[in-house]
Amino acid sequence: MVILITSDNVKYVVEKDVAELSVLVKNMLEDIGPSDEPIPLHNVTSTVFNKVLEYCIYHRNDPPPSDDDEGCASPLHKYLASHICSEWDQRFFDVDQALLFDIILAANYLDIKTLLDDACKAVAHLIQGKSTEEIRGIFNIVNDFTPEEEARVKKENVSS
Amino acid sequence: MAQKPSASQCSGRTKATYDKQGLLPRLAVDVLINILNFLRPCDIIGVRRTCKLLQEITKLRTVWVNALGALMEQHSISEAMFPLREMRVDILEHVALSPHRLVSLVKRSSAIEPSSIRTLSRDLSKEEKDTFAMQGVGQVNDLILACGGRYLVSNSVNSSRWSVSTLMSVWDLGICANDTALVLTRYLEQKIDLELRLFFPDPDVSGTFYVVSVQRSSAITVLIHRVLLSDSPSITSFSALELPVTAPTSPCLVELVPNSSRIVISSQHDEKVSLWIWDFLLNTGARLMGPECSLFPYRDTIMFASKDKVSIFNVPSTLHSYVPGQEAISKYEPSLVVTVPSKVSESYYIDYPNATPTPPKSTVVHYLLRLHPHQLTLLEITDIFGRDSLIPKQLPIKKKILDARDVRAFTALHRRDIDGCEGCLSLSGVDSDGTSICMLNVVASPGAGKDPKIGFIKASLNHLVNIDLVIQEFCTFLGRECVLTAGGDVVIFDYLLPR
Repeated sequence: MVILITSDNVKYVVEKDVAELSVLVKNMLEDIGPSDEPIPLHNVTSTVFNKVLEYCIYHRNDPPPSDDDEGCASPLHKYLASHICSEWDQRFFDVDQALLFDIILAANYLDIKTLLDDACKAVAHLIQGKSTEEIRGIFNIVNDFTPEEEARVKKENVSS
Repeated sequence: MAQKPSASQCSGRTKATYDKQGLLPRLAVDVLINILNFLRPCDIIGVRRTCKLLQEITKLRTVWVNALGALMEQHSISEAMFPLREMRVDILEHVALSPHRLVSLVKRSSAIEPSSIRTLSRDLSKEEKDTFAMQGVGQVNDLILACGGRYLVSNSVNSSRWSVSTLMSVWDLGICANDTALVLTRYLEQKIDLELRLFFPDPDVSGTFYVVSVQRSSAITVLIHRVLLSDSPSITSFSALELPVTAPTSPCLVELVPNSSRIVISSQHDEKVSLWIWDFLLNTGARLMGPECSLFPYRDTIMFASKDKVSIFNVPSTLHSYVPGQEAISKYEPSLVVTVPSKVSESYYIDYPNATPTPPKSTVVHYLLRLHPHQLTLLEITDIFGRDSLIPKQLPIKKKILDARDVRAFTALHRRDIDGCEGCLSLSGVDSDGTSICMLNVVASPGAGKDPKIGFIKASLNHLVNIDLVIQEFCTFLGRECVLTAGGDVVIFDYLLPR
């Protein structure tokens, strides 16, 4: 068992194989050796960590992702993978945008590649097939182009 | 939660601007790149136009290497065609967006015009004249484009030479319309009447391609030539398979099992159809027992279309050594036969992977279109995951029948003119009125269980109306067309220019 403490001081007792899905935690455990010391997760709140934990427990027995680019992380596999989403994953990522982005930040910080990829996929789903205006609307992006710049950007990619 | 706005390394913006912006531009650059990896090239352009920061990120080289890399994998295009590591970023972007731009062009125009026209040289260099003892390339009688549209093989017959032979020339047409078309290598094949059928990359060895041609004399011979695109390119005779058929004039179809060195050959004589599967690298083979057919290798299965049914074979995982001259080695019966009534036996199959998420099943739905001059049948293919080898891995279900009588191009359809890109299937053919590129627009409906919408889009190629075309190849990936005119000229039309 591993003890993890989130930034808002909530203590979690997690099974080692689940906790080690996070490369950050895995490396910390290796560094400190056998110890009951709790591991602080400075950048993750308990609200977000609950979701991360839910994901890690569900996916604990998945085969580990391959590191090399020619393996299962090849561009096509990534692309196809973006179209193959399990029902569970779809429900899991059916959350408000703020939480989805917090999950991305947490996955990035904790170094959980599969969660990061799946969350990025969920963001890509929101973008797919949408117009520029719609994308701005969905993500609340401020258009900071001057009218001249905007006209130029449009002209550069006229048929898209 | 504390976070580092590491996107700032791409832009000199102030904190105040950050606070106003939504969450997306506040993600780290590598996370944004990761999100873009899951998007189609046209969606990346949509993101580019939202704000300055995202504009900068969508111009990064890694974004387009990934985007084009994914497209190439989908279309089985090797890196010898588009060297991702060496290409300039604007060219990477141009190629990745080309399928989308071509479809947009056809959608909004009734006629499209080429941006560039190039005619291939018919001259030989002094060295080539000496090597082949010829004065010119002779009469070009066949050509074939490799998927991706950069490399072309042309065959010409020079009758002035004392022994008649075929000169095979491998061309690099370049990636962009304004590149110079260069001949890479030539080979003098001591045979004539070669029909070029396939030109595809080795699935494992980069820079190696194979050309499959059919020659009819007393028997049907399937010839394989190997093309090496190294520093000193070459094309050489590689292997040959003689089929023991009674009538060499009978129709003969040759198809490749995708990403493999296995080709499926069928020949028809009277009512009898002979089918072979041949691994030309291992020289092993098997004979398949099929109905009268059009055949279609579909991933790891082969489908045979007959008048009223589709028979599906799993490609046997092991083949037996093939001894030339020997009749069938092993016979395989179809794994499944699906009844799909149709008025004529002429039909073609096109694979169209559904490009939108298909909840709730964790499978990718593919569509298979069965075409003939009057009717189009849409089949939905569902992958079946099972250990039982007798069950086909793909199960087609009939979804929709569409009237296709108004599409004249269908009458001139040839298997290799069919290609899919960006949700469209392109069908090009010369009809009685002139030439047009015809695309089938397949729009997958959101939501599970709904039928996709299909419709035709079409654009005339008016510049070809007065040209007497012998052979025409349209590469929808690059928006490039190669034609052989009756005058013996090979002309390359490019419809897209880099921006």
